[in-house]
Amino acid sequence: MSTSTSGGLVVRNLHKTYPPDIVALRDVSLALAPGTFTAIIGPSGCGKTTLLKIAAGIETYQHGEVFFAGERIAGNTSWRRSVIYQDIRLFPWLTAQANVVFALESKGLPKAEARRQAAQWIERQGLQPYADAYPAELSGGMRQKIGVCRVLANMPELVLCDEPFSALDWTARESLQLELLRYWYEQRKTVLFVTHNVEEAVYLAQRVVLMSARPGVIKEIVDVPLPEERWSVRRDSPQLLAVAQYVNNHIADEVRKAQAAEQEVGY
Amino acid sequence: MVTTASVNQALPPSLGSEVELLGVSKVRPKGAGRETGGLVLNHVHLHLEPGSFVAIVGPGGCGKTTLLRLLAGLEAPSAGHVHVGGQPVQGPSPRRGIIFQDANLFPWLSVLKNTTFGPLAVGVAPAVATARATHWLTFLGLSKFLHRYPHELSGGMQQRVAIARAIVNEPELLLADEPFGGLDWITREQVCDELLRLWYTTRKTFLYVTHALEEAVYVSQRIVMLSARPGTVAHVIEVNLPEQRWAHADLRFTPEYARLVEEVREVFAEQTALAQSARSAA
Repeated sequence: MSTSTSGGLVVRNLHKTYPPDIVALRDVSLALAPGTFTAIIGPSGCGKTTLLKIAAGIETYQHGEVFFAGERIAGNTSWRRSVIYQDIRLFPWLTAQANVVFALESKGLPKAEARRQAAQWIERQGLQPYADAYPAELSGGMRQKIGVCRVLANMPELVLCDEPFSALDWTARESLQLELLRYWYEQRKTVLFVTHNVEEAVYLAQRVVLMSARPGVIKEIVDVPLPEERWSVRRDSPQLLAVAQYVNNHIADEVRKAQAAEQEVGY
Repeated sequence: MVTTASVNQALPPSLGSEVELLGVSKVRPKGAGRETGGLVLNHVHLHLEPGSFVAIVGPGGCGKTTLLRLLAGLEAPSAGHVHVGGQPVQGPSPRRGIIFQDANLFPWLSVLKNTTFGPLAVGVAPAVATARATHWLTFLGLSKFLHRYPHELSGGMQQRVAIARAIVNEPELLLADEPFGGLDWITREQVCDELLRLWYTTRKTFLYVTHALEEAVYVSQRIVMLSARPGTVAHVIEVNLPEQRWAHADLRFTPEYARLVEEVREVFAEQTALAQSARSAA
């Protein structure tokens, strides 16, 4: 069973309850083929982040099975599965470049090679002038760029993204969207991208998983019929807008349901 | 029971005020927790029509928030004139309401008491303050939450209370500094609709600072883009979209709208690139 999942993420009948009895995920099954880019979108509290944490191995679950590349994941982390958070914490006592070098050395690269690769990543983000600056001297956008470089430089096989670009201004957001797309396209790794932003989900992903309000259930999986070379797609193209509109309407329904439940609590 | 009609009688039918900035500059001293001092705003001219909705955007550190603080009267300009409604701004006033990213509600007061606090503080009769607060909280969809406390509300609902608390003072100018930056995108779009409805109904002058360009397009009639520091007006982009945007559910997915967002993004990217080349040269 697990041999057929090489390189991909397989989630079967996953059930997660937080104490005392908050059902975060109910019977979620999902298969990400190796080398695919999938986005998950849903209202707040639908369990998207929980699913991502379970795949990263930093959260456990009650029922079901989770496999990545044939390996069972149940609270075990690995450098092969890395998370990009909204606010990546850099080591404040290391320079921008040393933060990236540190990650590469931890993986066993010789110092000279680690330095060479780190310099390449930093250059591609246009941050050479800041390579020797400390995190406190960088803007939030620059820090996030360095953080993303640090994660991707390690060549993770499963990139788990939890709203990684939500707090950034447009230029930093666009630059990192393209960096992530390039990594996915060139390295053919698997990406799972959690977001609230419909436009971002549709622009980046090949498939968008729509989740319901809590308890999280997968309602539908929408294919995005755009070329893999997304950087060549205009953000105002009619195909992209049509998918975005479809996804948005679904999300709006789910948000209304979640709010109706909220109003009930408020009597 | 308070009816909308009785409250409307109590409200003056005034529009928002005209806003005028003439040659406004702001210099900050270096040090005291600031890495960079010097010129923050450089000779800014800006004119807001009474009852207009204008968004201010620009690269990080361009002085957007400083501009808003000058209008609020929280800071004084180093040079130039700041006028609201034909009068120079000389300190904070309830006539100029502010909404911040953090709702800053009093945790020990109910939603209703948070909202009546301002009017009561300036001597409005309790019955009138309660009627006005109830009206605006109901307008913002919070009628079931009047007697709830802030910690019982979601982030989006807390921000709605912050909006009610600003508008209940009947300001001539409403200033918003990244008001929904802490909310998720989906909630954010909804609260933007509430704010637009409020603007359309009250016709106060709204000035809205944000770093989210698509949000600036969605809420405003006009986008003022500041240059990188020292901030000055670099571009003004007219947003020719229907005023009642909340009634057009699919507006965001029309090619016209998407093209406008792209246009604003391109101008923003130009400004950021200029800022970066200036930094590299320095």
